Amino acid sequence: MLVIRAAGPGQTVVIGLAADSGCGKSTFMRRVTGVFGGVPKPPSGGNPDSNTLISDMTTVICLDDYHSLDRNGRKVEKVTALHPRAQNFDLMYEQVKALKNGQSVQKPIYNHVTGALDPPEEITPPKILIVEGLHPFFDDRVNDLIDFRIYLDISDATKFAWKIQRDMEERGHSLESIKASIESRKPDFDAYIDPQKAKADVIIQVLPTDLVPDEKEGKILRVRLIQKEGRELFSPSYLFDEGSTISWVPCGRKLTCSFPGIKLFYGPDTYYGEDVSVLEMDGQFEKLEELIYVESHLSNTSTKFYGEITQQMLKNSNFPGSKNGTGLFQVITGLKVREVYEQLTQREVARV
Amino acid sequence: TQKGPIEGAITEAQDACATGSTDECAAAWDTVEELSAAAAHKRDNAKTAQQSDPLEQYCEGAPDADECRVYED
Repeated sequence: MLVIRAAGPGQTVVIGLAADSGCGKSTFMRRVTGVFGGVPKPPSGGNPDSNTLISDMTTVICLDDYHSLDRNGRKVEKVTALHPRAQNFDLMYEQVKALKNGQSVQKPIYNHVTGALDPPEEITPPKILIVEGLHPFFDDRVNDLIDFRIYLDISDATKFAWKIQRDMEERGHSLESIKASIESRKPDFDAYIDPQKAKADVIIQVLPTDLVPDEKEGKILRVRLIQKEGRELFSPSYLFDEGSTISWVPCGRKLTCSFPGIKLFYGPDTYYGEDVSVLEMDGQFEKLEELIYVESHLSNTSTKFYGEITQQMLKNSNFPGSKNGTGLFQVITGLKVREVYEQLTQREVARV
Repeated sequence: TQKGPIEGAITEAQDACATGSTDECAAAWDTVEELSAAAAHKRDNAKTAQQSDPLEQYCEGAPDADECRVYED
């Protein structure tokens, strides 16, 4: 059961985002923080390889900074970064707890370039603390500190397609090496990362499209926003009629779509034994008109004015995923984060 | 030619999988993933910096120049 803490005004609200490496966490973060205005930047004057991003209202910390073993240590111990033995959950718990209680911390920096643990940087308590990485919900003590949990679930087929696009030009990489890397990490991923999605409040699932047979490039996507029912702090978005099962192709007389078009789905389901509402979008937008048309038929999106989702998407139109369901559902999740913050603190966030 | 860090890590991973245990193999490929992610991140940042407006880049350093002054009211 969910326990509501009495979060007074000025207290830090903690948001958790779990995802594997190379799955678009940074894009997600930029979209979520974009809802609160301002551009998140690395701490000025500090370590150039710091993983932290700070904006007026939000601070994003990367949980890799709580590696207990550096790259060489993992090699010696023969464990991957996905393994709980490579994380210092005690320190993670202490520091997230301190920040939530309004105290500054000296957080270590895991340097992704050198693979070493660098001297710590000072983190001051923000209004919204976002912890992103591989294990935000793994340790129960840390998990209990998090007010809203997001899991980014990328299907194996899509992960493979994305990593090909990311790595193929890199010297030394080949189809075989990309495949071998994914496959050898998979047992640890399945054992320690994947099970965390059962604890999430919102899961964004990215799957290959059903609209085009054998689409292997991972460009056209079927994206599902799985939203837990019965949470106190947020209520799921829906299409047309809450609780019904609806399949909707918006293309027709009112909207011209090019191949392969757009297909939306909404309906109740169960996910790891819990009631959920699923909102799904397959295909991609060509023009903005399509998005405002879709937005106008969505309800309970936590927007502050008509067209806010479309405006948010337009603002960051150069980000990956802006034409498909990943961008759309990331923005909706960002709006839910704002709603959670407003409910917990009884403070209103100004529209941007 | 000199091998890049990713190339080196891939060779190391292939060796580890051929001779070592499953754990060694997984840890070595995980290093490859980490290096690849860091390289991609760096590329993205460079691309963003390159794509940004040259005038805006100039104005970051010289907000007082005639070309850069913006008055809010």
